Amino acid sequence: MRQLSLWAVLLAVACSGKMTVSSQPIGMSSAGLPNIAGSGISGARSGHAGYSGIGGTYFGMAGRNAATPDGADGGAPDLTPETETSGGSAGAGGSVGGDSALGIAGRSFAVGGGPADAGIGLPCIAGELVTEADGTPAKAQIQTLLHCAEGLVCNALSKCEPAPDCPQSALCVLRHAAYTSGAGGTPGVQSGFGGGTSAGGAPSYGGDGSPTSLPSTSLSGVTAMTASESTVYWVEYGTRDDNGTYQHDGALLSYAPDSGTSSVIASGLEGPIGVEVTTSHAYVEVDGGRPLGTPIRLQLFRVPLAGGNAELVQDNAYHTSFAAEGGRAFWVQSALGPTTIYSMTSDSDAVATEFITSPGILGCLTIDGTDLYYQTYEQLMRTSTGSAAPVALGQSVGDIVVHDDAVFALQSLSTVGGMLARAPKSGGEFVRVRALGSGLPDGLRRVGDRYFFEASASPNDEPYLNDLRVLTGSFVDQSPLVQLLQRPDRGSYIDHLWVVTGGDLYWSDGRSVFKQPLPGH
Amino acid sequence: MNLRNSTYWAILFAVACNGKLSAVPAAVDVPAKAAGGSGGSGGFHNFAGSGGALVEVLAGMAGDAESGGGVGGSDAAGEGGEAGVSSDAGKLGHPCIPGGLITSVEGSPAQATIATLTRCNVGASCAAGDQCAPETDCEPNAGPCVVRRAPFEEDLAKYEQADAYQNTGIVALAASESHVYWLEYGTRDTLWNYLHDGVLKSYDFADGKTTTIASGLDGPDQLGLTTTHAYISIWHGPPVSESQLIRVPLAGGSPQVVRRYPAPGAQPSFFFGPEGSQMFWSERKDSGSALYSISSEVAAVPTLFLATDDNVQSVSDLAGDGMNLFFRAAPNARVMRTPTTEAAPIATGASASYGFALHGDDIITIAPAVERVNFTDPPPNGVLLSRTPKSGGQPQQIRPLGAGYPNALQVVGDRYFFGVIAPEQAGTSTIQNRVLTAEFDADVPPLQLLEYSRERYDRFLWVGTAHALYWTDGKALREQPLTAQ
Repeated sequence: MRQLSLWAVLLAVACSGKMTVSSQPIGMSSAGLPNIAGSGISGARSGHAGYSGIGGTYFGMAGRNAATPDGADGGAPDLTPETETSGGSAGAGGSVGGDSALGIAGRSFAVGGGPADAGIGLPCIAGELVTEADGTPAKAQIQTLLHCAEGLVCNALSKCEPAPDCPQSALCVLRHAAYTSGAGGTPGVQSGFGGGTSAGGAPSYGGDGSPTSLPSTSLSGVTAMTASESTVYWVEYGTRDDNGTYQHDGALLSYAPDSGTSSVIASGLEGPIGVEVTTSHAYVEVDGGRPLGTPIRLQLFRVPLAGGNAELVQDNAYHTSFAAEGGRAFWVQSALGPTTIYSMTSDSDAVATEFITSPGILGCLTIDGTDLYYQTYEQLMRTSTGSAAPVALGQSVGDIVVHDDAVFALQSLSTVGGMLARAPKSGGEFVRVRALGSGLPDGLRRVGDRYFFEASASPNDEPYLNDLRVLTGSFVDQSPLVQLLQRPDRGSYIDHLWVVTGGDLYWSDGRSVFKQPLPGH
Repeated sequence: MNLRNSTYWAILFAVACNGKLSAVPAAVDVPAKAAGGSGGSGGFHNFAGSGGALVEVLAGMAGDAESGGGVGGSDAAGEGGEAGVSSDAGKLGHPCIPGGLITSVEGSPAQATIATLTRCNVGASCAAGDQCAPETDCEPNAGPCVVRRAPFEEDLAKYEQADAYQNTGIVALAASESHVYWLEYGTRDTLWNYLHDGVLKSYDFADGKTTTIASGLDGPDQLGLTTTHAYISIWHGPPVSESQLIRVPLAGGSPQVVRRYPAPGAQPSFFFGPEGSQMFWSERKDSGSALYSISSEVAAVPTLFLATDDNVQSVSDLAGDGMNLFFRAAPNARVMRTPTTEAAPIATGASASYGFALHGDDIITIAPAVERVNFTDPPPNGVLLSRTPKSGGQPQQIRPLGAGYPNALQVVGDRYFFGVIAPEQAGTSTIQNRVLTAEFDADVPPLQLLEYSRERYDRFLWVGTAHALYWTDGKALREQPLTAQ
């Protein structure tokens, strides 16, 4: 049972499930609320297992860019090659801030973090075919692309320079988000509660575990992203004045690749920290934009995608996972007691209704046709969306995607690599079908016949200074995996700000939204 | 199972040691300790029937013939060294380690003379010219040899989650009067997908033949024997997702499910107590124990024999003598006795924290010569053998057994086997296991059959028979005859 509990914690963290939130350094609090990572909708799922966990306060992985401990400006992005800085303590430059964040290190990746030798003016890094995790079952060939550090693009002289604004045929900046200077960036860690086998999730470390009781911290910029088949959506937290007073200017925006147009769907949102969409509505979680240091107030709103007023769906609730069936939304609301999957139709007078309530629901919602999949502490479950009739399918596995007749999940091989595993939709054993190379895999997503996932990378065997990568592979062939993005692992929700639609990868560093064509598009 | 037992062993092995073994006639420590081996603790703690006796099967692994682990007896505390032996002795291509007599823990209540075999390190055997040569596959009466080399995924422990690390190679061992039986977990493909191909195999002492009795076992784990069946616990993966206790006729035939333990829920740990063709077993779960029995008939179904209550909180270590069933019960590791015809347990007066077995009219136990006062103290060095009448009474010490910390006891006929953990070598992570044997009615020194260093969590299983000790590190099943090489 102890093992099961441990897995429950790990799975909770691994369940990226979208819906995340994250405005707050939910840290680990958790005990009973494993999936804290994202309290909201989409966006930052936090919880990357592996960091020291520690609860209550967040253990900022940050440490890059040497921010000040009090949340003051982490400094403007330093677009210089990586330099070592001593200290760095609390918080992290571009990221973090927030009092009591325990930053690690102080290594200045700045915006151009990631590949250490591909900063502004430096040579681009050529693409190559790399063999990873050699000597282990996770051994795989990874195709890297011509690239530079995060946010930089390779110019005609094969030198790295800041990505230009879109439209461009290569990496470009789609949006410069409203950003509060001095915000300190992202909270040091939602991920804190991952913690792998250590503290993360342990009840004794994290206060009452209630995300709704967490103090507000200075967020700014892009806090969550999601996508439909044709449109990218994101929320921007809004800004604070010099006194830290929130300006009530959070917004929901969209970009339609076909038309190349961006739109503001809703403005005046009170601290949006998560977003997911159905075919008719965007579901937006907000933290209330409360005064710094005062308890946040999580609320779930929905906004018609065609425009209109934001409608309060749930108040004082914490949400961890989301899935849509056409215009109908499903989401998981966690509390300190049983967890409930709610659903809500697209009707204008619809109300949120309980679909399933159980103490063991973790989340990781996925919809395939009329089947809803979700995870409990011990089982992968499936139910018809028509009526709740859960059927156990086998072991709980974290993030899943459905493709054809199978359910796919990620598996870690210790800390050295990952595997893609497959089980029949009807239930059964997950069988590993593909080695995924090195790093801990996480955040599995599917677009058509391709899967996308994140994997850590520690180029210099520095355990707490990993990079994070986004890779893709094909369900229908065994061609090498392609590494689309590599950047510093901030240990925050920013790590998970990426979506794929329309042949492009969209990602954010919190300040900007980038558009990056997928190979072959 | 694994975590629980690992914890147990981790505690058990968190030791330091005093005491010293000295060579006879002079107390001479071997200056160079055998490198290799390594140590650690962990592993599991299984019980397997063996000809009606009870065997505590330990986990462990040794060093090898190249590195020098295993044999050699020369821990930091000066345990058992042989005077004048080269530091390379025991390695492949080097002289064998000579056997002899050792006075063990001199001055202690456990002081005893111990006989050691002429030997080589694990992976080698002493060949002509007293030189260590690669160990060979067994032929009848061939001396130390390898019965079986099992498929073993060497790196599983390194990369897989904790609960999978021991899911490879030989995972359980038991013996009857005529055969040794073992379970192999099965194999994996290149992505380490388990292929659900566990097997039960046997080795016939008479003709040296190895037979596969059952195949296609899904995650075999524990093994117990009656005169007619092998009882095996398995984990049946999705979509079934349950633990099962199954049995297989020793003569061959289809497996039969005895009991199911559907997930979710903790996989029980089994303790088997054969009584002829009838099997008793206890299931220990987080919430307590229950004792079941089943006869050998094809249509037999398990029946609840004894449920734990406030008086008997948990049941383990079962042994039968034809009329009564004996078991160890918490609290205080009391040895209880009950008729096999009905559950009416009473305490015998024996306490068996370190294992017990039956011999004649007695309950045989081993225990440290000196009990620890505080649990955090280093384990005491020295072992005593005691007996308590089956009918009840006070334990009586009958023999000092030399150095070490006791952890297993098995009786086969008039012979007993016991396992000890050697005093910890300061600053190392190795655990050194020793298995010795002696006869109840003979006044000859206990014979040390095996000394073997292993890393924490590595596997070490053994079972004694009338003619040999069979043991495994998970990779190979080896036979060590009871006579000198």
